[in-house]
Amino acid sequence: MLPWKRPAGWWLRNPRYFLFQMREVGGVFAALYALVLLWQLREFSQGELAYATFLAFMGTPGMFVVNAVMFAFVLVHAITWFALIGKAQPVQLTKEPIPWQKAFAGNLVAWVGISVVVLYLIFGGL
Amino acid sequence: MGVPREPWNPGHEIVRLEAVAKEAEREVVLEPMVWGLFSLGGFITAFLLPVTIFFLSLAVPLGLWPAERIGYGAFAARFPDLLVRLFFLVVIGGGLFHGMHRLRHILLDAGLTRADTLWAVLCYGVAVFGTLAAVYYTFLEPTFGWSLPFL
Amino acid sequence: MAEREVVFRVHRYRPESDRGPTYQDYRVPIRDDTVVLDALNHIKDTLDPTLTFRWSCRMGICGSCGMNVNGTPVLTCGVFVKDLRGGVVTVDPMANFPVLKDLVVEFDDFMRKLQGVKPFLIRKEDAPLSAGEYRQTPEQVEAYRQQSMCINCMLCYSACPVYSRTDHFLGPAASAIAYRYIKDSRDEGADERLGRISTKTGIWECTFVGECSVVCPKDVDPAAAIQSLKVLASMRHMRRILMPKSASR
Ligand code: SF4
Ligand code: FES
Repeated sequence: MLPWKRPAGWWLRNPRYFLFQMREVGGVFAALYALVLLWQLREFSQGELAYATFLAFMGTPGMFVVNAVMFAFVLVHAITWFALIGKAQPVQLTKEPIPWQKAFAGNLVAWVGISVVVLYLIFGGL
Repeated sequence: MGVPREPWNPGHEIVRLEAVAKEAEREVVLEPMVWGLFSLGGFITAFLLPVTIFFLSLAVPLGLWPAERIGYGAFAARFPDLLVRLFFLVVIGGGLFHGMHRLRHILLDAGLTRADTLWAVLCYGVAVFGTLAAVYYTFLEPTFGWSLPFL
Repeated sequence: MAEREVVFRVHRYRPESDRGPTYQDYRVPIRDDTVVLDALNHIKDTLDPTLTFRWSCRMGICGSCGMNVNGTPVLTCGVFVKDLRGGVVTVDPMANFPVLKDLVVEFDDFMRKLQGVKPFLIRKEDAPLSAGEYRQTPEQVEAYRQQSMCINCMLCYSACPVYSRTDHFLGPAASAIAYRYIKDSRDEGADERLGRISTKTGIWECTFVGECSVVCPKDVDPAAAIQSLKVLASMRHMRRILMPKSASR
């Protein structure tokens, strides 16, 4: 006698699994762009010429497309992250648990605020 | 589709607490740690990375910023600021620990579970090495002028 | 009420005689208020008494009638046939568990894991009976009420792609139940349970796909509970590394 198991399946079995994979891939793109930043710092430390070469390479149309794709995936990652972190509230700060929709909205507002702060403090404003 | 598993006695297995207690396993050391770094990195990348990519890589080609805003001069003017260097360190480290953990789990989910040790070494290795390199470029090299020829 | 006939494609497996599972088609008369479980009972009562499946309460309480209908894990007593899309209704046993016969699966793996998280109140010292019951405020009940709604129907295990591919996972319901006791103000076993969760067969393979929470009929949200457990377990871990003394208390 053999027991038979039916596996649940994976990847494209339903649209939610697909969205999940996109979210995960978005996280990996964050690591890729971190490597780009690291490379940028390296070229910067090598002096003006190396940095100019780096910028010229990043400015090519091909790299623009790559950057745009990375940006899109990282956006997906950011938005799904804001939606998900509200669901895990191991330490309750308020008397009633905050509904995740509220936490999501709060995260989005904080995100816009932080982005503006970063723009002015790190990248020197508009 | 079916996965035969033997030996097996359907429905006759009685689960007892003492047996479960005997099975008690050791706690893992790595997983809670890398998960903690992964989720910290998730916060960092979600909040800080979109604006970074947009202004460092997309604003100039889109014509929103003049090219000199990301040129050597502008970068050199801002980089001595401690906050700016810390920002780069945090974004690079966070992005790597977050993304590399996800990469490992994508590989596992794709069914490549046999090589898990290899994936773990590779992924977290890249994250650790990249973060150390970021420490070097943000704090050691500009401050002390050390140079490591291979970096 | 208008009756019409719907074809049910039902998973059959008789371990004594079959070498593997097969499908058998039945034509079942359906009304607007027929649920999938009614159709299965119709088959068993009038068409084929050998068909085997579990059910009891018919009202979404006992959690014994879970099956994969058109590929999705559901309580069959709660799904109207008229709401299903497609001409044929496919009924499978729940995925990820060994099949005993036809639509009946075996849960031993879950039972073992459930016992591993000690699903009962743990006290360092039991208060004497004369001290009366342990009292809780409504807010303290609210802290774990959602997870305490679990009826052990196993739909979440059937939906989980991670449980599908690895043995090293406690699974959604057992984790949610562990969380339920950790959040209970009367309980003092949090450290013990977080220790169980921190093992290789704990929760670290979970990647927050979230499908368990989608299929759960009781809105237990095991996916969120697992994330909270990860936060608690990794905080506990960090505390042990940084402050070994205070953690060993
Ligand atoms: S968590 Fe939900 S789906 Fe899972 S066993 Fe409990 S009630 Fe069923
Ligand atoms: S028969 Fe009890 S839940 Fe469906």
